[in-house]
Amino acid sequence: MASNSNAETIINALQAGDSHAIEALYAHHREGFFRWASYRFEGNRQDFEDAWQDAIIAFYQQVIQGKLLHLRHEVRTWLYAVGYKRLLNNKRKLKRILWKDQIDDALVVIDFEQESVDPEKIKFLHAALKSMSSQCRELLVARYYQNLGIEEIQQNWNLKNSNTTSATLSRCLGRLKDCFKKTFTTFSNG
Amino acid sequence: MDEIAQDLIERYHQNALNPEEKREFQRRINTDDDFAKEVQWHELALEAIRLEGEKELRRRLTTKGIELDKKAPKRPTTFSWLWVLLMVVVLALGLWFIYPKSTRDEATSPTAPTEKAFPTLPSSPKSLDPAPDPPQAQIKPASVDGKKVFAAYFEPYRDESLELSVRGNAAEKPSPQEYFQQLYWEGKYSAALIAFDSLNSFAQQDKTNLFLKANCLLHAKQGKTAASILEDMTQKGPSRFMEQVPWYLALSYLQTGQIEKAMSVLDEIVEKKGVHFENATQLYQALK
Repeated sequence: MASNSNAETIINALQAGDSHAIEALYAHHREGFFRWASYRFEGNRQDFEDAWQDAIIAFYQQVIQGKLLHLRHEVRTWLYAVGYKRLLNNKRKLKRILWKDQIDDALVVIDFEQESVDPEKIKFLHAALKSMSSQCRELLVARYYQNLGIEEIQQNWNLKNSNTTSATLSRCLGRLKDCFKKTFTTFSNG
Repeated sequence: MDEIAQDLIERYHQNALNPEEKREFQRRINTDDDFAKEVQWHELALEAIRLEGEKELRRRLTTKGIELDKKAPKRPTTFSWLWVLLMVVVLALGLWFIYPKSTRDEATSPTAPTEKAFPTLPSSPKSLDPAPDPPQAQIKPASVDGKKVFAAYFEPYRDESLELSVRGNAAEKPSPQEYFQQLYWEGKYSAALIAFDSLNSFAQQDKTNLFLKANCLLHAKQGKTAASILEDMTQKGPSRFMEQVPWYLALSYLQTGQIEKAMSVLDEIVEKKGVHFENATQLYQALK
């Protein structure tokens, strides 16, 4: 399927750490999604923007985590379907749909649901990360969110060598865990 | 926790364990409490990093979105049709003037006296466009109906920053200013004008509120009052709507039939190559 070769190109680029690929994907289908969503939902541009960003972020995370390696549909269809679900979950009023398209078909197959995290937990996790140096934060995000390799991180952050990079990452991750341990110990003692 | 265990945990989360290592991982989780706890800390750390990464990515996407919106200002889908319609009207009116009147007369009355063969320009635009009450002396006797052109180009200003966030505080009663802006955002311009009058004097001087009011006035076909607000804004120095004000001022002039003034403002926009450069260029050409 021609569309899937396109999907594979994007997936490969993201897996290779090409962070611009996700911005290009976001930009490429954005207006189309807004238009499509506005035919289906009562909502304003900001609602559609939020849904679109969620869909893009979900796609990125699924790819990076290795959960999405192949697509049965076009990338666009996957994104629209996830954005559609997001708008439904946010109780956006659905307009009367007079026609069906491939997104409706895809919805049956795409069973991806975004996890919701307890807001209190989010606050706590943010606070823990905020207590760290900005370099530590950036390094951890690069390694564990963007999936960048040690060599790439070493080059991007001008670190001495790969050993130093690994050690720095390990220290930063250790500090973050210590922060959690400390908080939980305080809670359980108090 | 020893380094081997740390490595095992990390590689487990990267899906990089071979079957034997996976078994070892499961065994330790079941038999070693410290190891099981360490796995939990690791997962919590990964979740925190994921949230931070997501926040960062969302920030980048938002910036990209703003860039895209700036490059391609939002247009309703009907715009192109309106533009075509406008061009047809302008063309038809243009032909009406350019095409010798006598030729038209000849067509209907081939035996007309020779004096009628000479084209005579209409003495006043009123003969073609009987606008009941031209507001200013400097109205250009042009073939363009300012109001029609205005209608083709006017679209109340909108950008996402104007939308009030309602999430989480839906139960709270909005302040008068929020109410005014909310009405504006919802496109209830007449109601917004009424709401504006109930704002305190400080809020009534706020540049955002004034700019929105001017848009409401334009929507209500009160171009003269809108123009006076916008003229005032251009004189009072910079605001976040610096690039928008001249465009809406030009439209106000257009609505009130002050074509010369509108053209002069449009000319400035074109020269400065502002955000409405393309529209201003088209409109200027259409008015010319």
